[in-house]
Amino acid sequence: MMKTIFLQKDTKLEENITSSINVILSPTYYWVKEFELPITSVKEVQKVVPNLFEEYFDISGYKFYVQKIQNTKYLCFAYDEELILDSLKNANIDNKKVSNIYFAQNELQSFFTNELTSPINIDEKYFIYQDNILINIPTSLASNIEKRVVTLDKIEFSKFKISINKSSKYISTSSSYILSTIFILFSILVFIKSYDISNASLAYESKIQSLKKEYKLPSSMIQTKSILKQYSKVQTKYNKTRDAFAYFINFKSNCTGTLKSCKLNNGLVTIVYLKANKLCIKKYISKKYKIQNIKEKNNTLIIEVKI
Amino acid sequence: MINPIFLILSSIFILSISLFNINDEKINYKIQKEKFEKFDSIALKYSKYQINYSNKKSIIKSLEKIIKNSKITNSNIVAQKNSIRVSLNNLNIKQIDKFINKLLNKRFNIVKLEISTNKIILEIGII
Repeated sequence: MMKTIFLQKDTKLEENITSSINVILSPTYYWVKEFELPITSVKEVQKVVPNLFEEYFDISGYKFYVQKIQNTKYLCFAYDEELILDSLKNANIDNKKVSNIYFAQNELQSFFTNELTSPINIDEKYFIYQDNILINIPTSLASNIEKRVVTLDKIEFSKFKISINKSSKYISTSSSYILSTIFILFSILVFIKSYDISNASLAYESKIQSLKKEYKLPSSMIQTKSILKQYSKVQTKYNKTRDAFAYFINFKSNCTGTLKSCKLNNGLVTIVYLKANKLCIKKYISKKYKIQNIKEKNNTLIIEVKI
Repeated sequence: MINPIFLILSSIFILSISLFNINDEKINYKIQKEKFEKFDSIALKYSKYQINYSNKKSIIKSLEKIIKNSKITNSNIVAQKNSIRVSLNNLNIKQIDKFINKLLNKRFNIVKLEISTNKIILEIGII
């Protein structure tokens, strides 16, 4: 059975708590008042309850709890969470071990009936209901009247309990929900954008396939590259041929004579000049190309050049 | 009740995963884009080369155009299995000059070219 602690200002446990416990808050930890309001919803009362308490004390730092008694009658509590947490700490109670927190106002009612109205004694403090509100009476007043010592372990707890922010005093639960929602929403947006980018990446793959079809490319990239290499060699050869022909034809800028014929066959160019100066032509061609053979017969100069 | 710190850390974890994921997708997108651009330029190059060196019809069409522009009337173009043979006869210097100029400004796989005072014999290889 879960242990029950009645939390008062001077509560101090000698041993460390190892299992979960229930805590009953003594009246010193909360303000309680009954209100009759023309509202039927507890949620609506929650919204107005801070204003109702405002005229009795400074409500800054307080949290509120509302429970319905009758149709339009509500029992409203105001409690300081920080104060409760500090008291738990001072009492040597690890707040993580606290399972539920109840108000003494609700939980001690079972000790009082129409016949049993004398004060009850819990940890040398005396409590009694006056006008349906549990109050702590001074020891001096209680000394002359009959009193009862009660054990809290047999209490059947009500459904009215509060939860306190055990984790951090820096961030409230509501703020953490808001912050988390923002993060999650942002994550969702990022995931949607990722999906978009992923689709765009996949689209490139289909574009590549359509390019393959459009340009009738070989199925593999290795084949394509091999053919391109072959083409590139032809291109280089073509450039060489073109430059060589242009050079042989334009000999007149340096030498005299006439070009009779120019033959290209398997990379060997045979040029035939008429009435040309052998030395001048030889010098001109040797500037750029290696002459393989040179012959001169009857004013005809035949030169073979490998390009 | 969920621990607020746990809640925030979990949402930060999910956010981090989404950010890592988008980063990965961005890198992948960049790679795919570069791959496509490279492929596009290879495909274009391949297509140009093919028109210049492999497409018989296109080569013959280009040759006919050059011959026509050089005002040569006596021409013979014969398409063979791996080459195209062109013989041009009864040419004057001006026609030879114009034809050679235009021929060398186009891209052909010239295997054989014989130029004499009134005749040109040309063989273009097909890859």
